[in-house]
Amino acid sequence: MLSRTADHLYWMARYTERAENMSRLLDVSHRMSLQLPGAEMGYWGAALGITGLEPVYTAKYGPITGANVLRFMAVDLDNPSSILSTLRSSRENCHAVRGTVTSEVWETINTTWLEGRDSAAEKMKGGGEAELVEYLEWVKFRSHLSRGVTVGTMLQDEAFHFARLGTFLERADNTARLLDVKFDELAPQVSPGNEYYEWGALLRSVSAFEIYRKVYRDVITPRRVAELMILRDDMPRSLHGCLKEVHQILGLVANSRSSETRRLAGAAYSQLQYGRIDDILEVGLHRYLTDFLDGMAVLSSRIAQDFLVPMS
Amino acid sequence: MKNIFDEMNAPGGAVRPHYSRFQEWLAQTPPAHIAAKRAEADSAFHRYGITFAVYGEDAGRERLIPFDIVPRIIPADEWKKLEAGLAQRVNALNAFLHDIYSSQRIVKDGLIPAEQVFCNAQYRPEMQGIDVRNSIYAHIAGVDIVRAALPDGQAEYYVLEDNLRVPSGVSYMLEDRRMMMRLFPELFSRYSVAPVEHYPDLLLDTLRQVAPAGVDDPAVVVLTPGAYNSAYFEHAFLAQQMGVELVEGKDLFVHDETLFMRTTQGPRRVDVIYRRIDDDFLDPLTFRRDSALGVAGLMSVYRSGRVTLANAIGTGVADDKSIYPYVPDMIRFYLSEEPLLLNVPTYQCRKKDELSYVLANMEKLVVKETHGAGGYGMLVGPASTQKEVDDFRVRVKAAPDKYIAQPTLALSACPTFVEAGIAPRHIDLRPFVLSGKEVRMAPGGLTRVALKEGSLVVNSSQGGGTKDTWVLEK
Amino acid sequence: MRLEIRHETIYRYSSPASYSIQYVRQTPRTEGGQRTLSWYIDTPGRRWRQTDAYGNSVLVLSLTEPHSEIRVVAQGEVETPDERGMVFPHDSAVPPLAFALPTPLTQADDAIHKLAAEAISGSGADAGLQVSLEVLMNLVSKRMAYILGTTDVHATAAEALAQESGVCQDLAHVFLAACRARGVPARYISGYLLDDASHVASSHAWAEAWIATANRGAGGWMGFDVTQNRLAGPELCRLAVGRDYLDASPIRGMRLGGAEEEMKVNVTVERSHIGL
Repeated sequence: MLSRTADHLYWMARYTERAENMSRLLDVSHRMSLQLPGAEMGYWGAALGITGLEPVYTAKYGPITGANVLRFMAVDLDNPSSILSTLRSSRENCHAVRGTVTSEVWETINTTWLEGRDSAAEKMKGGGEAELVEYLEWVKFRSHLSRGVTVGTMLQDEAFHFARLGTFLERADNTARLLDVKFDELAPQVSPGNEYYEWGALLRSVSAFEIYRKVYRDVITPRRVAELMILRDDMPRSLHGCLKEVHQILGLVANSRSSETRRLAGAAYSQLQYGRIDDILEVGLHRYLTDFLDGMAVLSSRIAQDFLVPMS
Repeated sequence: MKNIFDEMNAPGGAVRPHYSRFQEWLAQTPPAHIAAKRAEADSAFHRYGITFAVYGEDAGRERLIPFDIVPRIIPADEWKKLEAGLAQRVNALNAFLHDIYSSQRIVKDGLIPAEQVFCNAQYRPEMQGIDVRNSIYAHIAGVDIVRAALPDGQAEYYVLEDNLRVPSGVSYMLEDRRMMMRLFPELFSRYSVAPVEHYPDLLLDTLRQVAPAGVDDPAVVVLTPGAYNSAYFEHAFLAQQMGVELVEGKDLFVHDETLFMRTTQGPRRVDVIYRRIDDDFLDPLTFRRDSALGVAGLMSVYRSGRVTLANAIGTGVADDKSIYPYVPDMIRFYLSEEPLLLNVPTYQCRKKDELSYVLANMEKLVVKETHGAGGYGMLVGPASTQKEVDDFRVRVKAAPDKYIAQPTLALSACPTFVEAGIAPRHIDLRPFVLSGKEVRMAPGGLTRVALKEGSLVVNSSQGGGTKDTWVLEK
Repeated sequence: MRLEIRHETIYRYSSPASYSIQYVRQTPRTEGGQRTLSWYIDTPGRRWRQTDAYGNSVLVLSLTEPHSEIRVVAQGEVETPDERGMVFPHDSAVPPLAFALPTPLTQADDAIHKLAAEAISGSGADAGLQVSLEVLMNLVSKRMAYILGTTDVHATAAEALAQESGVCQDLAHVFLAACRARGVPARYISGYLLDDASHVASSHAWAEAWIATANRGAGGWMGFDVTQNRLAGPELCRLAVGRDYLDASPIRGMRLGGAEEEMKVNVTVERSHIGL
């Protein structure tokens, strides 16, 4: 397969996954802001600060409000990393490989962009947080549809593998970031009585609330939340779950120069396979996740060099 | 109004014999059924993404080229003559290109003035001395043919122009047929229609035949300018139908006197490029240096004979409208045969006496830019206002070399569904002629129809539509 | 005259380039009385040689390993004809007439048309053409100052004439544009110049025009060194011919990556001492 084709498929899937994860992140931020009456402006300000896009926001919207930060992050095309911009990138990548994906995949991703754009135009005109949270729900739903139509209609050949590779790398990256950011915010301030609500919000944001209940049948503790999202191999959004897929796919698409890349993925995978949560917490969750994200960045750039944009 | 030859209805109302079974079917089929099928065709074309303009963000909602369900039917004996004439013409054009880029006999013998060839912007000096496989330059030729009424009520086919650069439209020929068979299978039981579905196989076979010498199993690719080109659908369609890679310039690179494409499994050698990019953009180190669509160094591999380009570079010098008047002479010169197909009589404005005729008679003539394409830069005298004619006269006077003129032909018409029902509309025909080791073509071609009443401009960029073209098998 | 020539080109990149391809036209031509006594070119990468449509010997090189530098050194000894203003027959497969068509770099604007009309009254077939062309050369060289660095390497003839200055390439382009505006075939020559006074860079460019009446009507090319305002002579070594700079430039390439590029060219041309 042409490297460029693989590259478009990989990014098509990555952007779709990213849009979904951004929706999840904004969703949990919204829920948490509701728990902080009076302090929510500072909370949204901090959320915006992390993106580095505060100047762009301020120039356009002025003072920080929850609804406007949500608007800026979700539906504003002036923000190059808004959910809507991400949906457009996914669609542009898909358009470039229309002949390689099934027509159902193209129609789904194209429709997501077209409908997402139209409804975003409405939301840009005004409205409160509730309307914007609806949009987040819709994005998640469209992402489920994209994933379903990819798995349900595409031949499981290289094209499929590179799309899936993009999905799982992006997801691992996002789960790690979500955990990192939210643990930082939550750990010091959660008062014993509120644990249930706040960790619950985090779990719900990654669709893991019911899973947690099923797996632990016990009260929610940060340690278990971290364990579930990092080490459970059967948890679809856990780091372990994602790296299992990444490692396997790199075996399927291997070429003459990709063995080191696969070895790196294998090393990351086995650390998750045999890791223990107590050891991770002892190192410090933040440090652990920072190392993990660095490793993912190296892996992504090696994949790009080996498969997607090889110079020769 | 001149008399117009109607492909289906003879003067006096009788239906021509080869349309009689279609007429019966039309009479028997409830209009509601036809209306439903026409709607189905529209939605199917949309769904498949068979569209024309693929610009910008709205590419999911592109414009369709209107498809008309009344087929253009050509009797077997008529096609036989056309086919022989087309093969002859394309053979002569290829011989001309080979001659121009090697020994230049036709110029030395004085048949064509040297400046018409070598001072032509479409002449590519870079092609001089390149040994092209099988001496074929225009592997894919789209020859535009019209039929015009004669005073006696009969009609004659004329070649309007030769398209030897990157002729497009063959995907519509194939999709129109697929659509007709899907919508009206019963019609095909009334007629024995020559198949066209094998065109991609013929094309692939042609491309393989002209692979560089010594390559047994050539790797063929289709080179596209990219997803935002207006003919991208066709590029993707043909690549997919032939089962070959659709590449962009950035997928390719030159190393060690060889052309490679970048794949997930490492560099893979490329032997034949079916290129849908204009000459100017093929190699930024030889042609336009600002081109990001081509491949740096491609020309050096081409010159070494280690890759085949289809079509070859520099074919435009043979389809230029200033060269068109000489094609009958080329046929006599290279093939020692009399032309089987007629040329439209053409006035060359670069000649003084012909220019004064053109300037005096512009209202009656079709005036064309010699390098123009796609129906741009032309004047249809009888269909223009006095001001349009006057403006054009100024342009021609300023640069007579750039224009030719032809009498306005009464293009034949074919019944077509329009808002008010069925009415005759002007049509042309573009057969696609393939030259590899031999000349082959799918029977018929693409019939384009001018949907505006009285309009003679059939180009899709100017609001034309298409019809399925049936060549009948005896 | 015997000339000893060394031509060094160095590209340096601020970060490694991942791919490069270069067309190197640095092999002296062998017609018009010019002879190569010895010549070799040192380059990195994979290389292959071919003759282009204009009869230039082109060395193509490609590199696919990361590289921070490309260094090309051409050197050797060439014998040039002693005669000045000689006319020699056509020598490539591209007919002279093809050199009458303007290229994007040699499109005539009003100023060039005016200049051309001033010098060349009749058409290219006139017996007096050679004199007219000398007048043209004189006009161009008087009108335009030879100044390094005032024009972009891709300046058009019209742009260069408008600012009344340029390098040898620009002066040659203006001359070509004017010839072509009058229908006279003319071509671009890149090569080397032995300049004892060292006013002009050793890497040089000039023009040749087609004198249709020469050689008893068979026609021939005659060289006009517009920069020095004199007919081509033994101090010039011809490397490559083309319609303009882009066809005949000594090196033309493309790379991927590499960020900032720095290019250095060193050319030395010396009279060789026969017998040593």
